[in-house]
Amino acid sequence: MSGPRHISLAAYLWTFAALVALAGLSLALSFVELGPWSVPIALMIAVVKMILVALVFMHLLEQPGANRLVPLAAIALLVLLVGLMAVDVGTRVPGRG
Amino acid sequence: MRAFEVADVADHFADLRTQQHAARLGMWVFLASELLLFAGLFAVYAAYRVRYDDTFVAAIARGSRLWGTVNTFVLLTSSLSAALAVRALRLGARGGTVLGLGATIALGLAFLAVKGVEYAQHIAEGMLPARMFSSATIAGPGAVAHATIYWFATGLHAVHVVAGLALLTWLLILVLRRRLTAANPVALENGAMYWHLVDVIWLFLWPLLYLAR
Repeated sequence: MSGPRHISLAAYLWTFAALVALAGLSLALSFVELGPWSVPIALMIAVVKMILVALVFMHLLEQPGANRLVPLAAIALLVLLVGLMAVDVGTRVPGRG
Repeated sequence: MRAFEVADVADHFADLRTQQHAARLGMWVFLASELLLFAGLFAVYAAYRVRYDDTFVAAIARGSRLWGTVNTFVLLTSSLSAALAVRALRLGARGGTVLGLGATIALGLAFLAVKGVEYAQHIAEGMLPARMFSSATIAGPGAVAHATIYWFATGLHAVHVVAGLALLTWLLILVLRRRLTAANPVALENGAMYWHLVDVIWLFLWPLLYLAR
């Protein structure tokens, strides 16, 4: 195992700046009429924020690859559950349950 | 009790580094299970949002975009201060660690205060879960579903904020008593990770419950 490369102060501050900018983007887009795209676009921006928090604030960048598999597996299961649930309800024919 | 001192490597670990790696991996597994706890609520949201999209849009438009946004910036800032507290501890800067943890705890309390103001407004409007729902301005099964999901998701999240605050306060006491030092910062790293999870969950609740209209 190689020694941990510690994340620099600049990296923390840039990450925070990027998170604030992305939150501003989320807020600005909520004033735009996006129709059915509003939820997918909002979630995509949230995913980018989550990746930034996990890699830098939660120090995933410093840690061995095995640790990355754990959140990835959890997120894959979450996407399957939520995605299939939305597809199921969204494709039901009215009057047939 | 000398729980976090340098020499405390358990018998079944070859060295301190292996023990710390196991502690970090264990924390990731715990956080993954926390994420899957919230996954059920996100799935219910997906199902009802698809079914009652118009009602959800109307219900979200009645909420306070301002308070939700204020709380987003409060939690983002608290994540930065938690990360800086970990950095300070690793560098052996005890004052910086105390400052970072103190700021994180203060911001967490501010989050709960804002949430309390919002909850008071919802109660006054009758926007309550399930059978308690009595809003005069918006009605129907979609509105009840929205209110129920809103209360369960933000309520479960608020419980996590309270747990995170208790954890960070305990860690702050350990730092003040010099039980946590640069030699073994993993307990604080893991405590901060829990706080970042609370932040990440909110980064999804905020667009789903306040923005996507």
